Amino acid sequence: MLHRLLILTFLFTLFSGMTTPENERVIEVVNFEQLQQVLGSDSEHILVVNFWATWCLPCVAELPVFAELEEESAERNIRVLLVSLDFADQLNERLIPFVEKNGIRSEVMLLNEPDANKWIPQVDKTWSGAIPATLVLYKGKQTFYEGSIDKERLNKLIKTVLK
Amino acid sequence: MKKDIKRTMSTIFAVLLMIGSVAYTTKENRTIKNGYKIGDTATDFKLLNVDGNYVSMSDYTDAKGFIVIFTCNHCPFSKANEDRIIELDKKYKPLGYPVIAINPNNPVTYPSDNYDNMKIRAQEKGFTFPYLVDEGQNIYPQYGATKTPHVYVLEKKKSKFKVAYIGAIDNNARDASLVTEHYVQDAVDALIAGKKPEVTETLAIGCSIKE
Repeated sequence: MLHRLLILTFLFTLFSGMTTPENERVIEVVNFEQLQQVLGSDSEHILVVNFWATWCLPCVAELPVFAELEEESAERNIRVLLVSLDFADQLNERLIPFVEKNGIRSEVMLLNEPDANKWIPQVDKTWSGAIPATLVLYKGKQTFYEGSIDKERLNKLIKTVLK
Repeated sequence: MKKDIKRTMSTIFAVLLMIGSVAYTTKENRTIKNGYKIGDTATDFKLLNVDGNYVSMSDYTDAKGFIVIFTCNHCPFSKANEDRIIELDKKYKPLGYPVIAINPNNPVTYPSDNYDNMKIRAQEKGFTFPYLVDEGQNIYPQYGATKTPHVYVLEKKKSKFKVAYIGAIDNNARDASLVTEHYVQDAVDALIAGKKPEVTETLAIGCSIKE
């Protein structure tokens, strides 16, 4: 019996090793405190934080805007962070495949903090909780926009924190 | 004298500049919260139900109030709350606070939210409450709903519908088993006991309502 179990374990290890490609996309699952730490520890870049989810059509529709910004990020000193609100149990079956399939190059995190009433107002006092929503931070200044965003409006937000 | 005028002018200019920048900031931070606040009188409606009939709050002569929930078919947060909405209706309809669900989405943007699919979903889940179409999308903006699900608990006072609670059903949209605060239940329980709800406004992540 033990023998059989050992063989099974061996086969399982072998199998999982084979199915994990070396360049697999890693997406960190964070709680709100950890997200705040990430945002608070970067005073160098203009942080552009987009709250989205794979199931949110208007969020997915505006992703090209952030992909375009990602392309310009190095010369504009910008760090794009896509904070997904997908359910944590769908990380492997839904979020990671989505990110890989769509070739998303920006940093992606999954925020797993269910008690939304506590953390939503800490992101921005004006946020009703609807997504998409975009937060721009730079050197203690912040500006926030709830709703679908285009490149022009995003640039305006960035300008606001640079003033 | 001239110096005074100059100083006054520059003060006026500075003030104008400040007003300008404030207006600019407000424009950037678009506020959608121009809907109802606690204590406001909510509008009644006459909307098409999944059973083919039109429903108004004034049809319910015996109701003491309502749990009006803007929700829809496609949104995972709405789906995650369907069973809880049914439970709310089963518990509070006999106590005078029935649930009325309204789908505010544009069926062209979200075909899964169209009338036929609403009928299917209501049947599948066995909705015990009306599931209405916000035809022309006239009702949700008056309430100020921004997302699904978005709850308004109304108390009937002298045949007017007063807003007593706005927000989430509870504090864990994703997992009912991990809920520690039942916002809507607490608010309705308070109203039934003749008290004011302690928590009157809460926030939750939801799917933005599409025009």
